[in-house]
Amino acid sequence: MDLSLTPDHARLRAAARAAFAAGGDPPLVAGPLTELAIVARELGRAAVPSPFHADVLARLLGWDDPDRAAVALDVRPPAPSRDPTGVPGGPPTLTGVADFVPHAGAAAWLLVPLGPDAVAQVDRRGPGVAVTPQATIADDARCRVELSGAPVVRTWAADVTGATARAAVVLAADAVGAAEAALDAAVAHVSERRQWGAPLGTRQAVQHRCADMLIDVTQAADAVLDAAGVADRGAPEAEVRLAASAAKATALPRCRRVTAAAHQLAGGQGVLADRPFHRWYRRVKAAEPTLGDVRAHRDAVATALLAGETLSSLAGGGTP
Amino acid sequence: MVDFRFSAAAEAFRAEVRAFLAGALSPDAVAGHDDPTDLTGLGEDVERRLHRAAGERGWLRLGLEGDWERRAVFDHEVAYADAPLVDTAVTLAGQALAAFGSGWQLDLLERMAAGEVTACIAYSEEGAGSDLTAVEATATPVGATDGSGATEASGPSGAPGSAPLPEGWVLRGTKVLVTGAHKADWCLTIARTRPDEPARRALSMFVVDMRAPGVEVVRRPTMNGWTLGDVVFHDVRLGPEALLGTLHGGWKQLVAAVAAERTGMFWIGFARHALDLLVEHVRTAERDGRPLADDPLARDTVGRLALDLEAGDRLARRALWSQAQADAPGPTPPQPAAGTGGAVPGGDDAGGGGPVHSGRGVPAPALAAMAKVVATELLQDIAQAATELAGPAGLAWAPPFAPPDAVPPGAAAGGRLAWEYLERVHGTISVGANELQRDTIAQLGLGLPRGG
Repeated sequence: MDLSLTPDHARLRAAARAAFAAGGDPPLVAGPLTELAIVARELGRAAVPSPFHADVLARLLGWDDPDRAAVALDVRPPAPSRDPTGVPGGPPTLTGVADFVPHAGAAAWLLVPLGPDAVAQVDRRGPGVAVTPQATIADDARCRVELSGAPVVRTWAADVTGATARAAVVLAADAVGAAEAALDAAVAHVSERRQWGAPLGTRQAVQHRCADMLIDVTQAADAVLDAAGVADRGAPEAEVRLAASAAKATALPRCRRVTAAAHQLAGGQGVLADRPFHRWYRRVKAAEPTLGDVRAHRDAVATALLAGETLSSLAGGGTP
Repeated sequence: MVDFRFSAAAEAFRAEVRAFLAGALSPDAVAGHDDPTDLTGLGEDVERRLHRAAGERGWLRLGLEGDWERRAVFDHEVAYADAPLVDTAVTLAGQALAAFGSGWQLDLLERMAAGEVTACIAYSEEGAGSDLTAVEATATPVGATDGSGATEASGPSGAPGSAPLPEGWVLRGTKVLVTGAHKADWCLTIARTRPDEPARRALSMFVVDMRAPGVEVVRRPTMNGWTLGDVVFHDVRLGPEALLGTLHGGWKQLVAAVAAERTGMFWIGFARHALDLLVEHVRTAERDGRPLADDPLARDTVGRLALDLEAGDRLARRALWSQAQADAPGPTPPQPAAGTGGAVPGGDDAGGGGPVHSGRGVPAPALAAMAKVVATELLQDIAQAATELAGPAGLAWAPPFAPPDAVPPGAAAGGRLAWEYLERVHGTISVGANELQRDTIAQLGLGLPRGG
């Protein structure tokens, strides 16, 4: 068992924290999942708008271009209808609709999964593509993407399921960062705020709520670190996906509870928009249904267990 | 990178323990030895046999030798298997003897580690449970005529250890809720050795022979059929060698002893067993003519509890790992341990002026408290979910190792689910009530101030 992070990890964390505090870009969007999770956690802490997660998913799908690409998952009908002939002699085209695609508006390209093992690239500003902003409580510029005979620039083989599973771990890390920042702020508030002659934080009801928040954040953080470690140590793909589902379905409900509890502890002034609590509260809510909602990931875990499998991130022998 | 798995060697050890337990607790091996009045469900003969067998293999001394991964694996496996190896003498009393014992007490510890003797810990009293400062049992120095106890036990300064020890004590009082008292050879207890001082300067720990004249055990059935013991000390004469550690220094020792009692992995082992029973029930049962496994609510419950269990297991492992890092000789290992920021877990520093708990990880005692809260509450959640899913069949009760003719017909999981439902009540109360654990978490883990 080894639960320590390396000095490189600590440096990466510090770099990410500094970058986000200065309004800069993430220090990396590709690399081992543990490193992406470290950056994401700092991003969630800072709770600033960023196309980071869209970039991470695109990279995981094999996108390797300086231009920005948004990934349109869940195109309706389930498989985007694809006309390989289209205009006689022309390129293949795609038709379908995807909702709530993050950062699609500002992207140069759209990536559209064609089932579980292939991705198509479409020109965001090309013919047959309409992108409409959708107002949400999230800060990640969600858009409806309508494709009507949009020409496919190229397609390539990609493990779509594996990529979304890994991106879900990174997104869960973001939620962990938001939750721990909310906990930090709530603890700071109840330590300073005096009512009836004593800090709120001396009261047992307040302390116990904070204790539960620390438990939640710790469990969420460890589920994410564990899943990232499983992926980075090259475990079998089924194990990686199960760990990813476990991470998302473990982290999100806990992080959501924490950001809600932080609001309660922050009191009335916590609802003012110039106070930070709502940013963490929204951020975790936005992550909850994205890249597989909690119920779906929980059901993946139930399916494995009912089939007689074990959740294996803790099983078997690790380091000598 | 972060890896929560135990070492390959510890996992090989797990297989060894499992194989041993499969034989030692096989239906043939335990047939006729069931005892529903004992917490283990088995008679004392089986328990003593297993203690000796485990002792011969060196398994009871793992914790004393700092082999924390193997100890965690052992604790998990014996709990999972319902083996009567949870409340061993070493688990209950070993850490205190190792830390504070001397002379013959260390010989006794060796016999405990060999599995040759059983023990109990008798701290609580009718009026002193979570708050052991209220202990009223007294140990009066032999020869003290005014009953004050303080006259011969301490010098004018009152400083512990500065005065010659008395020739012995007379122990008087009643201890309650003592696990395994009726079968214990030895007892660790605590009593006031100074009547007029606050508990922190007035308590002393003693090692008492349960066969000594004046020791009486009254068995009290619990809500789940097995018994706890009242241990009544009727003016029990103790020699000077009975004192454990420092005279009047028992309070500090007690805090350390209770903290070291458990790894937390017992609870995870119990929980994994109960969850496996729940999953098996969902896999095989029907509801309204349809497989329960197709019921989305049942599936959601399975997924949620399984993830809660994994999260509890990880937390228990983190607590152990963190304690092992703290115990390791040499420079403190770098503690941005595995977290990536903030308090949790092992956060680094956000720079000056950060929140009160930034700049350090959550200390091991707070993690242990977190693990205890999570595991004991999870056990209740699993028992509740399992009995609810099983319907009336989940009300049918039988204890572990009940012979087939003692299991009610139609019982779900052999009557175990109802047993779990009753059994898991006490976990959130004993070994430090979860309210106290949450105080500890808030104060040690988050730096919140003690209340008034």
